[in-house]
Amino acid sequence: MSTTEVQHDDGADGALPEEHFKPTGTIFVLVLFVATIILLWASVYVILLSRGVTL
Amino acid sequence: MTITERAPSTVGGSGYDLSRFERRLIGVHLFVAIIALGIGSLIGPLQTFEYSNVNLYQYLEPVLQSYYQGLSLHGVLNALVWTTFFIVGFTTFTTIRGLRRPLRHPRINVAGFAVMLIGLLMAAVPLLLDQATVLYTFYAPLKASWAFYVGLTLVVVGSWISGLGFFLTLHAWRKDNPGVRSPFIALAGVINAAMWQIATIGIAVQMLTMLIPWSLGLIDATDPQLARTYFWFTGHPLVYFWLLPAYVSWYGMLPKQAGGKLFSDSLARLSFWMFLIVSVPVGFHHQFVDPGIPQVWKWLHAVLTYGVFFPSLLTAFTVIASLEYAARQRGGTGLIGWVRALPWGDPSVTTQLLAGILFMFGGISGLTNASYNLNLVVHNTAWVPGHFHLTVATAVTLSFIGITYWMVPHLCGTQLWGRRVALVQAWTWFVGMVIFSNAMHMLGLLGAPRRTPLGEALYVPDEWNGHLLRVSIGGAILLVSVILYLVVMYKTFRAPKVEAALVPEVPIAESLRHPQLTPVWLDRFKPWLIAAGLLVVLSYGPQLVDQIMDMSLNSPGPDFKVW
Repeated sequence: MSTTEVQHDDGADGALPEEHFKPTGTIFVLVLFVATIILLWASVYVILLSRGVTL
Repeated sequence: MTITERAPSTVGGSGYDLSRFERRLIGVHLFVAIIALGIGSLIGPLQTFEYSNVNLYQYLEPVLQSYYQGLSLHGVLNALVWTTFFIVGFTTFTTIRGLRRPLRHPRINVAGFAVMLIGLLMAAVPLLLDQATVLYTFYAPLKASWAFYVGLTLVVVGSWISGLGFFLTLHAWRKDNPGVRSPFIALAGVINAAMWQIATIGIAVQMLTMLIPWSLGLIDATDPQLARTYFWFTGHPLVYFWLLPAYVSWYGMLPKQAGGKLFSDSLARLSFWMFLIVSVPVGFHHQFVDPGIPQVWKWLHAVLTYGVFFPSLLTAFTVIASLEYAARQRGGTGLIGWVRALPWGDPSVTTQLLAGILFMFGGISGLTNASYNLNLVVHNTAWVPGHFHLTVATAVTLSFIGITYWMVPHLCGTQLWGRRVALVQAWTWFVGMVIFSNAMHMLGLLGAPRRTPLGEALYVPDEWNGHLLRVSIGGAILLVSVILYLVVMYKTFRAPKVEAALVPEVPIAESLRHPQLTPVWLDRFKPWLIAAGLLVVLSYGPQLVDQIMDMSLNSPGPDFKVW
């Protein structure tokens, strides 16, 4: 990651300090997570369907 | 943004040393918790070995008289005692240390601990005498000794008293610091205590109006349907009562331990307030197959359960972003490669990272449980304990273990004994739980029932056998992990005192944005408490009124012991 992705505001001129950080890796991990959710949830759904209906 | 309000006086990691009394008060909570975890977890593997037809219970009589007595002890000690005592002790710590001030009324918190301890001792006697073999859910008409019910009630009442002590301390701090955002770890602990006080109304009513009078012979029978509804009013938010202290550490402490900062103070607070609102009105998703509850109410609770997923995803995003920030500061690169830069050599960090990884899978199986239709596939199967061993037994327990790796030496004035042993403990827990939990999930999908000594069952098909063996292998590895943990704790407790500079510091993470930039509405109790109350009334009120009006105390329970 380039250092430009973390921007510092050190609180000059009376402003409270804050930093800005782009969590690109986090977004990637969460995309993988959501895809895993869909995959595993759907696999159980297929089992449900395979068992057929009860009347 | 410029400073428009008074700057907070409490940010960062130093500034208030706990008194000897405070260390002892927190320490006795942790002591009881760790003893309970030790005993309860040593019993757990007996159940997993039984799955492979290795019945060790016969060698433990008369201490343990049955599989179900062992299962009851395992559940009560681990899910109720270890968690509750640890949480109250940890919240005492975060309240004092977060606010950097002593408890406002310490006698209240001492009283809370005393009531919890008396309750624990009362409940322990019938449990050990096989007079409370009703599992940790104590579903009526399974009947336990009155002492078990009164004891558990006192544990809850004690936690209420301690919760009052936390709230009064935060209230006093706010009076002294008008306009200042409450320190996150203190505020979050009090939010959890408030949620717990709302959630436990269900179990309090169940105990006082049904189970205690019934066990004392004052009424002849119970209404199992209503009893289950009361129980799950408390039973599901109990999960968040366990989880939120782990979140306090993940949001407010772990980033500091990893060398970074909290990504967003605002998101952290928002997720806690959302948990306060949506934790309670979800209990009917545990009763999807109960015939006495109309489908529309089950559907409503299913939707609200999905609502809990929102603050859960907020938590996943914020915590992972905080860790990514830390890893980048440590030179981590790549879309996923930054994970390697986290301090995996620190046992306190490693336990919590591994806990978080498995919790993601616990969340996925939880979504399956909560889905009205999919629940039919897994209901009352081995899938369910497979799920909650990823949540309470890993996300919560492994995180709490990680917290003790800095907190116990901090309280004792020592250093952690055996860092490598502690690392092995963390990884054996992770590996053992992966094997155990995956096998339990698979068994559930194949239809294996939960709460059943499958080693004795005559209906076990061949396709279950490999998974049953994996359950036992996972249990054996977890047994090693628990023993290692107990050794590390004992040795740390007995270790020689070291000079203050060598004692682990309290890891309180700063936020990327100054907390004073957090909107003021994220620091107010009133609107969130009103919203929580309203949602509980709307989601439970009409159905509870119906069930109480139709209450039928016609289930006396068996006149023989079913275990």
